[in-house]
Amino acid sequence: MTKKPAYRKLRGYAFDPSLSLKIDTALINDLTYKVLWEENLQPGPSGEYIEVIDIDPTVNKFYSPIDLNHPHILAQDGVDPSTSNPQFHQQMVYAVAMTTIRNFESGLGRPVLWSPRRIKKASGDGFKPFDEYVPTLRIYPHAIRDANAYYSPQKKALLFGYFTARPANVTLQMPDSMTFTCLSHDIIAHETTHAILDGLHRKYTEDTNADVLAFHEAFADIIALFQHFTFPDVLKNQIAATRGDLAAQNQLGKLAQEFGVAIGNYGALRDAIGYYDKETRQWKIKEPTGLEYQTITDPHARGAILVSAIFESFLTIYKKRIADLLRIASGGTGILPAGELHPDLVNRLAAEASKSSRHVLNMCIRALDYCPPVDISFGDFLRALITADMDVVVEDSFDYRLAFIDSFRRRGIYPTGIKQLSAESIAFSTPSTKGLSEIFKVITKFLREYRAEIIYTNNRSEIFDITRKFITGLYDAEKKIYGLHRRLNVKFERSIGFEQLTGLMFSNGWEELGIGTSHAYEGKGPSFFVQSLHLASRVGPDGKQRNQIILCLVQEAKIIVEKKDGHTNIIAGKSGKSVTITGGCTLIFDLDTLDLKYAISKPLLDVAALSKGIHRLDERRAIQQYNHQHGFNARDNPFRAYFSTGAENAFNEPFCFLHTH
Amino acid sequence: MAKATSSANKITKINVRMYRAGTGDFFILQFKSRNSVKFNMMIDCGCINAGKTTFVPMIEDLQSITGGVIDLLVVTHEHADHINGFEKSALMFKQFTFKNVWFAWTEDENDPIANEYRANHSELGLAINLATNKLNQLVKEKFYEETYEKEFAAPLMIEGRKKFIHALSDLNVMNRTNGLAVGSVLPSMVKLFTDFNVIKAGTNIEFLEPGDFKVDLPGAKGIRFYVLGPPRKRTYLNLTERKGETFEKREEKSEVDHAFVSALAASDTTFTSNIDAFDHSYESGEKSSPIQKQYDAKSNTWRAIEHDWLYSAGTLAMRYERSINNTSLALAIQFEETEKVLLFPGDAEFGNWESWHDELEWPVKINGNTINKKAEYFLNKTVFYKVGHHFSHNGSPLAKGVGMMTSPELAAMATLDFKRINHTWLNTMPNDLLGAELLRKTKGQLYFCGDRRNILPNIKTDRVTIKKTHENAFNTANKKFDGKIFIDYEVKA
Repeated sequence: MTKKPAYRKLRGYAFDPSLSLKIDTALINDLTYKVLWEENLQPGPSGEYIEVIDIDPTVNKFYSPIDLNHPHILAQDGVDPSTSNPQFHQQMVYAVAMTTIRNFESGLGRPVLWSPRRIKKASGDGFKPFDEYVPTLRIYPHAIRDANAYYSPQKKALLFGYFTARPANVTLQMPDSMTFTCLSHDIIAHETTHAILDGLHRKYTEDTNADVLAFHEAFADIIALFQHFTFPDVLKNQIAATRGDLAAQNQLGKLAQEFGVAIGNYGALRDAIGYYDKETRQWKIKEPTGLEYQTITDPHARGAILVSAIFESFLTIYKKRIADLLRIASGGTGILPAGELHPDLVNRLAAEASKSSRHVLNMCIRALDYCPPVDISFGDFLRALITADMDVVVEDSFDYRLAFIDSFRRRGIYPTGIKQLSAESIAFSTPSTKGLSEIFKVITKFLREYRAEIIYTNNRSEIFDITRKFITGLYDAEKKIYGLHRRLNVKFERSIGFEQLTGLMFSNGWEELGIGTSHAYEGKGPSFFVQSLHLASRVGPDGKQRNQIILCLVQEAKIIVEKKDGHTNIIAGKSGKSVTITGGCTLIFDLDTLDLKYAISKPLLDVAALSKGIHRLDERRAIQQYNHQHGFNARDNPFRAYFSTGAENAFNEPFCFLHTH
Repeated sequence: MAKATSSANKITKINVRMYRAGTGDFFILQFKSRNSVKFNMMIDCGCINAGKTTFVPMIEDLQSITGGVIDLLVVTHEHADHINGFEKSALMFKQFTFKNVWFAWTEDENDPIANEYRANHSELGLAINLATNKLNQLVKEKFYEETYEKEFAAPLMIEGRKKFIHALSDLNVMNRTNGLAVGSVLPSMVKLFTDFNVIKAGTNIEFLEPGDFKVDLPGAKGIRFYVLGPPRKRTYLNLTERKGETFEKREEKSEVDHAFVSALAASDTTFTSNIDAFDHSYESGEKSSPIQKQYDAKSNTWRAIEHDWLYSAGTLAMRYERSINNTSLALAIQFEETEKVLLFPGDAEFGNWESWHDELEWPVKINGNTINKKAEYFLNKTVFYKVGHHFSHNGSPLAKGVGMMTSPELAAMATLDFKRINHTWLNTMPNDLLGAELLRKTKGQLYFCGDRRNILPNIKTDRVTIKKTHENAFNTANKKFDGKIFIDYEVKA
């Protein structure tokens, strides 16, 4: 019998159609995407992860779905790239979205799940939330008529727009011709990343500090950018064009920036990478001042800081990786002979650039599991990056970690609560669980049972069902699984040690801190929720497999902050004007030993006071979150200031707002 | 000799009276020589959400102090909060004589660029109006309540959508195309003001362009009028905020978004055009594919996108409103001798301000010599500033606007009033940073149309500091007018 193919090859644009019209970029714009073979792919394309639905509501028309299994289409690696054939548009969004999903799965070491739909379930007199499994992300390639595309967390869908364009260069393109956002690799990858990130960290759509939405934006842009750079063919052309210029890395920066600015506000985040010198007309890397992080608050401009930090790390890594090649090629002089570069050298350089990109891409994706579940800051992300990397790559032979720390430092991004800027102190340390054996017995038992069920399945819906069952519990007559929630509430009374670890409240007296009461389980307890639970399995460069279980807990409190006679007072409790503040903790366990490896916390409680036995809210975080939600930052974006319902309401298409200025 | 007679009637002071109808501009400037009024200049007459009776006491006051004779009326731009008083009180204005009326060049029906601009605006305005009506219809039909019925966060989701639609409707209040048939073009303001009885036989109409200037108008001896905006260049007219400076985007949205606008126009049955993105052969037509059935399934309505495209009207409406603000006729009124300037920028936004500094120069006679001066000169000499666009952040640029107002005598008036305002405007007005800066620069000589006691707390946010002496001066200055229908400020030559 014939073997199933590993990949489905689909032709598409490496950038977007406008570059196919220019003779010097047409060549690099053709790319054949290798997408993991899906056995049961239906016309749409509609597969396990995504369903492309090509309805255009603006004219109320459906376009015929492409059947990628049709022999004619299979025989020629998909339909021809074309702006005027909607079936190609369907193929393009499918190819890029699947490539992005694949990159995440290899980085995370587990299947990608979309964020669930939270529906009402009758419970007693009222409702309780119930997470419904959403198997597929919907992609609407022609949803709106605007230079915008966005991920809708409500619909679990990507909405792409098209618009009539006024090209900067009218000789290339007919003015007022249609431009489609669904044909741009960067935009598709960007939006898909928003969706995946929402599946991993649901709370990141809530605008709780100046970094959160900026992080969402920046992360999506980073993935789009480095995914691009993993295609060596895209880079070869540019590297060859640099000729004897040893600072070839400049060319990559220019490429990253120039090709990111096709449409609307996309690529604006790359503005921080470099600029054209007005006098020399030379493209230059922008040197950071070190004040960026302190002074810039608009989500886009702030996101740009993170993008430029990651890009600089990439360049440092790339430079280091090609140092030997340049020495060989220049006979040790550092000066390359005039004329074109040897094609072999170009190939090698492109391969190194592509490899560096893949590493950076992987590092960034892996770091997501080491981020706190709420209220992320760029400093948290740096700590996550370093910790995640130290876990998988024991020997950092090319000083990747140093490259990251350095480029963050140069922009004024420092993680809070560390003593010095070295990889060892930035990485999270393994907390002591001394005196917590009682509690950890419960958790270990829970994890063991979870492991036993989850370990043998790769089926996404089964993974979802098992996980939900373990989070909320299954109380059948025949088989009983106590949910984690119930187990914790029963066992954790007056456990200051665990509260210090997580920064969350499990003792009596939660009402006084504005934390809600959970009645859902037998007895009463402070309300908190298990945001996610999953198993990750990753392979390092040494071939060793690391298996972990990751558990995220989130807790909320309602407060008001009042200013009186120069003093700032926190008044806990729900009232008309109160806002919700959140705390959360990511607990990472070794799957084999079930030992706690890390507790990454954004505390709701004042951890220092806990050691004196006092339960009170973390004042700094509470005030910062309260002020932020009172929306001074929103004023920087007039569109958001005018139309958005504010930080409290994350259900108002936050990404649509982010992309609109 | 000549010198003696000319100095006899020379204007020595200008009294600026701001009528307090609500958020909106309504000014009378009385140019005086010693204490006798020589020249009456009126600027705009409007207030958002005003009723018929709102303006009555103010127009009565205007009648009594001017005798119903206005030497010069300046109409800055077409927004309701600047002109609806003329419409609502057309009967009262019938009794007035307007000798001269100045409009911006954008109202000139003999100017092809102005006509094209108005045609584009009409198209955009119509589309926004259609979209707003359709969305409001959804609210009325309880569409969101139905769609989100099963969602746990339904209340927040519904609130979000409704807030958006409400905000859009607030913007649409300013949209003059309401009631206009699809495909037609808005009348110019000349036509409008003729209908309002403002322009009558004998009224002299002028259209002004940047660079224009007027000296020694009959009655206004010793006063020069300089026209700063609106810009002729479209790039400035459409510029509402500073853009990035590095790379030009390969593809920008066209100024009138034909794709969006034509789809909306087509949804109105009276109008058809070629609006399809693709050839008809690609349409699935009658036969419904499984994926289409999946989309149509009732259990999947929460993921449907039938109306989401209409939300694009939000950006468009904002751009539309702001580009009309950019058509504001911006004037600098100068005392010849002392060179002091009164600045009335209308609702000019970033592009309008930016254009003043570009290429343009104005001849200024100083000590008998004519010197060409740049915009910065007029800003440096400004002693009275009518704050642009009701105190929003983009109505007064910092570096190339307020930052250049360096006169120690600076005073400012802002037409912001919480009593009559669209609720959603409060998100951006007043801008606290601008407020703090102006309080500092004017040392408290900052006047608000609305109640000072409500507005000041909105400027005193956590991120600004205001000197106590300035705050006290502000209160003392405004207090005199508490409860009155106008605020006076006298500018001496």
